[in-house]
Amino acid sequence: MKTVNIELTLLDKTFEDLAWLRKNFSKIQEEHGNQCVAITNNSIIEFAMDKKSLFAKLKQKGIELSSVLIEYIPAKNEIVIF
Amino acid sequence: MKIKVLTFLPEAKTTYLNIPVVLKSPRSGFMRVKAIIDTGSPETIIGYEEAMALQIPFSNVATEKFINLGGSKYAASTFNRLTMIFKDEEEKAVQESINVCVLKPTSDKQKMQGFSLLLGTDFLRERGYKLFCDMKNDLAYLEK
Repeated sequence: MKTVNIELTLLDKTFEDLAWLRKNFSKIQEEHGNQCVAITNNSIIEFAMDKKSLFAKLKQKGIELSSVLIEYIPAKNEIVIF
Repeated sequence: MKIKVLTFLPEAKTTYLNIPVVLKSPRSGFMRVKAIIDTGSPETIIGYEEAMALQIPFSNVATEKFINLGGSKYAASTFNRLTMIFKDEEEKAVQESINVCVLKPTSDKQKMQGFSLLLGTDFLRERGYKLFCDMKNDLAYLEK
């Protein structure tokens, strides 16, 4: 175990992004149900029908992986079971 | 040392055990994901697209086994020692490394959209974590 500040900053951002997603989930689900979204700083900066396309879009725009949280937004009444 | 586990997902009516994690790749830096603790899985599994984006060098590894996930069978390779960073209750970073399975989709239908990282029982066993879980009171954590 060791402590590294950059990782802590990224983890804090992830907690914030998840809290924002939870608070706004109904609206986001209406707009992006069954899509993958990239979240950062209380907004969705990119979305696509699947992760492959989303990662490609982010790469094309030069957006760093660490700056976004990628989430699949299930459609209404969809429950994901692994 | 305790790591708080979240007991909700934004889909407010569903409850999963999940933890924010930072994944560290020597080739492409960091990735922020939400890991799901899956006590029904004996293996820790990273999503295929996440593995590709992190440039995890699994493509040179021959398929070692097949994993049946959600009724679909996937070809699986192992990547040795993926580094994960968690935050404990004292706000300190906790770094762990473990072998992870990368599942390769064999058809367009197998997209594995729903998760980025599944932490299986191998993670709990190998890294020595106890999982405490009280879903009714929204209380869960990993402890060692």
